Amino acid sequence: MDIIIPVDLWEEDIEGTLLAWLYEDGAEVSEGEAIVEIMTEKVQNEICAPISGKLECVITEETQVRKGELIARIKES
Amino acid sequence: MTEVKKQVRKIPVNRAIREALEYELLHDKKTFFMGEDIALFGGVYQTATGFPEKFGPDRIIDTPISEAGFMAAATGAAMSGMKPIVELMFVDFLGVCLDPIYNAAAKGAYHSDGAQPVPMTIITGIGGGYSDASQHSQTLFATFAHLPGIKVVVPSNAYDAKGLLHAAIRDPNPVVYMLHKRLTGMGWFDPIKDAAVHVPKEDYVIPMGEAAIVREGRDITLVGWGETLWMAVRAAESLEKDGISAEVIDLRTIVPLDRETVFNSVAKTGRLIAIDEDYRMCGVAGEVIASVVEQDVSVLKATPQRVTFPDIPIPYARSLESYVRPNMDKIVAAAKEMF
Repeated sequence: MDIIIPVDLWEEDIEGTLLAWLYEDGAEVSEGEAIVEIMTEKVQNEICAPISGKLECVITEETQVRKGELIARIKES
Repeated sequence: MTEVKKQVRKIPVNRAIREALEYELLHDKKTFFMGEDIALFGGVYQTATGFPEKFGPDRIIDTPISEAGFMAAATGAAMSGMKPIVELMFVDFLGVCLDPIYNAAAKGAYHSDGAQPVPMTIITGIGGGYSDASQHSQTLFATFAHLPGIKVVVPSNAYDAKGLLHAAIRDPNPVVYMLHKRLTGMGWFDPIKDAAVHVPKEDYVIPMGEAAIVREGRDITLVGWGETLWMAVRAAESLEKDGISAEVIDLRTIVPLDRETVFNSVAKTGRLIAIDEDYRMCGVAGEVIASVVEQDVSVLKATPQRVTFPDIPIPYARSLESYVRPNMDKIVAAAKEMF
């Protein structure tokens, strides 16, 4: 399943910074757990895993990202 | 020994704090969390995100900008059987609320012959290095350490942050829990990414008063805590290239101070540098050195050194601030002078 930055993750029409992956590339993640932090202004926004499975990070930390961008995939286990 | 290596789940310090807080709030009904921007905003360090929905407005409390008022209220609550957790957003604001902390909370157990302990936890943001000027960048380690009756903890990584916070909240004494802003993991504080480490999901306690040897070495002991621990680690890596084997100690707790671990290390290496982000005069770095010198000066092969912030206000300009702060290069230079 593609992990895409939701358009309503933050309000403003600005880019964010992918600050930190909370799991390493290739880790098994569980549905509902926060997996990544994306910073806008002074706020850290998190995205939770929609399904359980193996995380494949597409975007590296410290990269500028925009809403709707593909940042990872989770392969259902 | 602290695990400072990447494992599968690695979370920043502020998330580790949030996990510890959530556990304690869930399992101990006497706890509550109070401070500026805690409830509606979730805390400026995002340590209380989602808490109002989970625990309700009686236990997750936004205060006005009134440190004197809410610190006194927390002290009174603790004396009345509650276990308040209160956030002093920046330690620099200590001046307006010191009296309830050092005259009431710190001395409550003594004044009552132990009948009235004051089990409160003060979480406070410390430190500079991100250009926030003289009233928002201080650490004030020594200010708290100097006052008897308060325990003072300074975690350097997410694993310690969680275990020490559990210990702080469960302790019957007032504890000042110092959260270095650059270690929180928050993007706008110029984060030190090394502080995000593997953290177990279950609760665990790291006892206060136990330093950690984070790197073993033979030739010199580098003592750091909070952010300066990471400067010491980088310095040790640099010194290794020059054939100098440095042992690095993370104090983790300033009060109680683990003098034994420091002394035993220096007894082995014979050389000591204490690295302190606080002002130099009457600082913790001097106390660390005294821990060795007072016990047995004969273990020393060279005069112990301090790398500290000087006794001046913290500059706003990034160039000036970075010039006066402790850093890896200053530690390496001081170390090489000792051989």
